[in-house]
Amino acid sequence: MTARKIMLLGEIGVGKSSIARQLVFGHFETRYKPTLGVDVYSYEIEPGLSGGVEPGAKFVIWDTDGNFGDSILSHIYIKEAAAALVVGDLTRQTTLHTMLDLGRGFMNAMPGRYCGFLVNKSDLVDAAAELPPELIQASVPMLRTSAKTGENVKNAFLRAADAIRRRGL
Amino acid sequence: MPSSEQQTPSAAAVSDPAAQMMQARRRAGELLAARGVFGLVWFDDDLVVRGRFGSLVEFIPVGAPVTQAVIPLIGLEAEIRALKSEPGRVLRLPSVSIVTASGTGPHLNMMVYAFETEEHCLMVVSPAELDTNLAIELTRQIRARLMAESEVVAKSQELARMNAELRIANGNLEQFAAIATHDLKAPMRALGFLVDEIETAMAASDAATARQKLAELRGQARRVSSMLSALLHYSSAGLNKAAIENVDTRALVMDIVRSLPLGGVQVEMAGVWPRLDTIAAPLSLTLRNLIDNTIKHHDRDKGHLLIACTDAGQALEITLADDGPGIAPEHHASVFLPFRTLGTNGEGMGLAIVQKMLDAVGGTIALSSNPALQRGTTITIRWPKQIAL
Repeated sequence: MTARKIMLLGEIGVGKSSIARQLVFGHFETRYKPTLGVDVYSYEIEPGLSGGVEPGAKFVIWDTDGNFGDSILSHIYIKEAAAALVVGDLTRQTTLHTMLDLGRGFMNAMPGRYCGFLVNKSDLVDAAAELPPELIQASVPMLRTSAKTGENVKNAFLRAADAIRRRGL
Repeated sequence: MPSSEQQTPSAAAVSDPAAQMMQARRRAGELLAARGVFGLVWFDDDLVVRGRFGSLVEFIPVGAPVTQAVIPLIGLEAEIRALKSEPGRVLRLPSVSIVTASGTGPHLNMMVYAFETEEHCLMVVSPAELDTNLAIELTRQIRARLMAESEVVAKSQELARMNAELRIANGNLEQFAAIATHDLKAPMRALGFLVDEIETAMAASDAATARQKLAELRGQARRVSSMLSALLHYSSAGLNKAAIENVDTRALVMDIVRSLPLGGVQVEMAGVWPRLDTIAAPLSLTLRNLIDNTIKHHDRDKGHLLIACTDAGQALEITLADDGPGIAPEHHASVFLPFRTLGTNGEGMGLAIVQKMLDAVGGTIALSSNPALQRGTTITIRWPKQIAL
């Protein structure tokens, strides 16, 4: 079975690497180490999960350097990506606006591919924290995540995996 | 191309200078590859690794697809095969690291070549970490600046919010003072008059008048007490202890209706009543006051109240339409002020509390009624779906 490629996009320091590590290794690292270039993880859906996902499906997760900005959208890294999870930091409003730009950019650059928004660091902010209205209206699937507690992290990837399967990507 | 890993020419003694130079070059290549300055991997059209050279690529097994160990090449298979039809083109993957349970591998630059004359593709791998320390420091500084900027923005927003709260609090205080001095003045003055009249009646030994005035005095005292309680209730209405809860709006209205003495008023619900993440207590207080107000001021034995809800995008639009006596247009603005009542029921605080709650959550209220044309009043409130606490 060929592995499918999922991109993690978003501004620097929003928690992309922490999300990838929480998903793949099930732990959170408190020490911040910026990603340079790209870190690539492999992830396999464990058997016994329900909800339309394909047990045994394999994914390569590309955790990108936040410094790329929107130039990532024309980079070789993004070639043949089946999905992108665009991450923002709930405690930094600017990163939420960047999410919107990156999400739109990805959907334009890779039509038909799945795109999801992850509003991360939900453990640091009240659940009612305000999101930019345009983010809510963007009709892109969105989840509040916490790489620290693991809230919705696996769920976000399972949603992407299910969409990849349904769309035959 | 070596047929297996680390295959290089033997270091046999060569006397020819050209051959010596060739041997020296190969030796230099061996030394650099052994020290991880570069690595070479050869793979065939099926992307199966046929040979490798250098310590940097020792993690790549010979005889297996290159994508098995070099997972960043997954998805790029067609791109690699296409290289043969485009001589001179190179596939470059800069600064890629493979992360496994045992740790994060070195950042590598990978370049894949396909030569017309060669059977196999060649991948040249080199470390991408020459400027790593500088890049990390730069990135750390950028992140620190971003964090500081976000903090300044957050503090400014907090300050603006506190200023807005202070303005509202000052407004409330002014309103409270105005009510206390104006609306409570009349009953207090009446108490004074009654005491004078009781004194006069007692001086004249008119016990009957004194008893009557004492009864009126008790009534006025009760009214003042009731007004003070209502004022206290109004002053404390706000979002101080509000928390976001998932509210079944239909169940909420039904609970309120069940808890009120409806008399002859029949209540009907219509529209779509969603579950909503909102502040339950203030929404309940708002709806309770509106429904209670309608029931209290209905002037007939039998009446009808229709409560309908529609989704208006950013807000829920809740309409209460009754067939009561209606409110004359000249009273439309004043009914939302404290202690303004058009009837004899209540203290006239119900709609004032509703107005205050809606101001606090960023909602609106509209009133439509003209008894000269038709009985009934329609009140429409817009309750925002997103509420900032």
